[in-house]
Amino acid sequence: MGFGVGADFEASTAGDGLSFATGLTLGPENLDAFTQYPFGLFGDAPTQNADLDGFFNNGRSGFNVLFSEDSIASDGFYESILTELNDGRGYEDLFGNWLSREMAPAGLLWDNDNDEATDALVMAWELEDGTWEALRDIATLPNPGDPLDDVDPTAGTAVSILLDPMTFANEAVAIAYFTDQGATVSTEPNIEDLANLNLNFGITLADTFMGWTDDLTGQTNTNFTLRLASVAAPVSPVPLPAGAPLLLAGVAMIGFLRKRRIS
Amino acid sequence: MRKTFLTSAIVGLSAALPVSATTLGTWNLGNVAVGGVPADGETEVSTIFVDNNSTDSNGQIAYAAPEAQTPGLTALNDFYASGAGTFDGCIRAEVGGTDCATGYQTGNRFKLQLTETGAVDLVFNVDPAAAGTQGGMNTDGSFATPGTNTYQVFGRAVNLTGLELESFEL
Repeated sequence: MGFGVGADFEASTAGDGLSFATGLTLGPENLDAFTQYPFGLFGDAPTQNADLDGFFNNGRSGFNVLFSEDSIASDGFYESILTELNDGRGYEDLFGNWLSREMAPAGLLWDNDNDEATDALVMAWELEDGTWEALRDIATLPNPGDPLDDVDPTAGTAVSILLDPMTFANEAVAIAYFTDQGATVSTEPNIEDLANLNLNFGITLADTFMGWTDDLTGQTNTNFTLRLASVAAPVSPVPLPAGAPLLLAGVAMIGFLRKRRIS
Repeated sequence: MRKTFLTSAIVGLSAALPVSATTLGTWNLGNVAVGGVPADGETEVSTIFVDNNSTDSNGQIAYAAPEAQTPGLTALNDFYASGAGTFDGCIRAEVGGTDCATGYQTGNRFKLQLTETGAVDLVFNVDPAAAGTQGGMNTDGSFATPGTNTYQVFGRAVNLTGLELESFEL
C-alpha cells in the first residue's frame, strides 16, 4: 500500500495516516488479515452458512500472511487439519502453487437446487492420469415426499465422501454414474474456484492523513494506492536427456585440461 | 518521484472545531478503462493500466450481470459492525446499494483478475478531514474509533497469469 502508480509508486510508511487495519477478527483465528480459497472447495460445514464440507477438503486452505502496518505479504500455504478426512488434501498438497485458471483440472458440476443464481456443486474432478474421482455423492432422500423433510423434492442433496472417494476410469463413466441417479451433471473444463483466492483485510485512514505532494510538480494528491504484486513460482527445469551428464562431464574435463596446460 | 506526506499538525484545536474525519472517497479511475454494461449472464472488465499514461496492464476488475455492474468495484462509507469488527465503510464489488454487509454468498467480493505478474494499482480518493479537526463521528453519532476510519475490504484475486504463483504482497 502506498501512493502513486507504476514506477512512481512509493510505499506507505509508519505515521503517515494510512495503514492496514488492526484489531479485526477475520477468519476462524480472528486475524487482521486472512486469505482462503473458496469455501465450497476447502471448508468445514456447518460454518459460513454452508451445510456441505468443501469438495477437496473439510478444512480451509489459503496463504498465511505476514501482517504489518503497511504490508500484507503471503508466507506460504496453510491447511486446516481437522480430521483424517483432510490431511494431505490441502491446496498445496494437491496443486503445489496457486494455479492459473487454465491449469486447473476439469470437474463435474451438479446444479442440485435447480437455481442458476447459486453456485453449482463440484461432484468429481479429473486426475492427472485421466481418471476421475468423486468426492461427493448424491444423498438418498430420508423420507421422499414428506413435506416435513427439509429437502427440495425436485432437486437433491449432495453429501461429502472424502473418506471413501469413488474413482472412475474416465469422464464418460463418471457422468454415467450420476446420470443413473437422476442428476444432470455438466463438465467444467477448469474448476474456476481453484484460481480464486479470497482476500480479507481492512484499511484505516487516520484524520492525520492529508494527502501527499508530488515534489516535482507540486501537485497535491488526496488519494492512496492499494497495490497487489504477485510472484510466479520458478518453472521446473526441463530434464536433461540421459546422455547429457556424461557430455557435460566431458566438456568440463576439457576445460580442466586446458587450464592445466596454461598454468 | 519524491513525495511529501502531509499530516494535520494542529490537532490541539480539534475540540473547538466541528467534528470531521478523513473518509474514503471513490475509486480513482485515472489508470482505469472502465468496462461496459454487461448483459445478464455476461462478464465485462475494467482494465487497470500500470500508470495513467500507459496501455500496459497487469490486471482488471471483472464483473458479471445481473450480480454485479460496471465499473465492478466501489468504495462506500457505511458504519456497521460484523463478526469481523466495527467498520466505517468498505471496498467491495459494485453490486448495487450502499450497504457493505450484503451477507454471505452475495457476490460482494470484487474480482481482481491478475493477467500478468506485475503490480496492479487500485487508487482510491480520500476526503481529508478539515484541517485541525479530529473525530471520526459516524452517521449515527457514535464513534467507531475516534480519529480514524476503518474500511473492510472484500476482495478476491484471480490468477489468470498463465503461471503458477508462489507468493503475493499487498
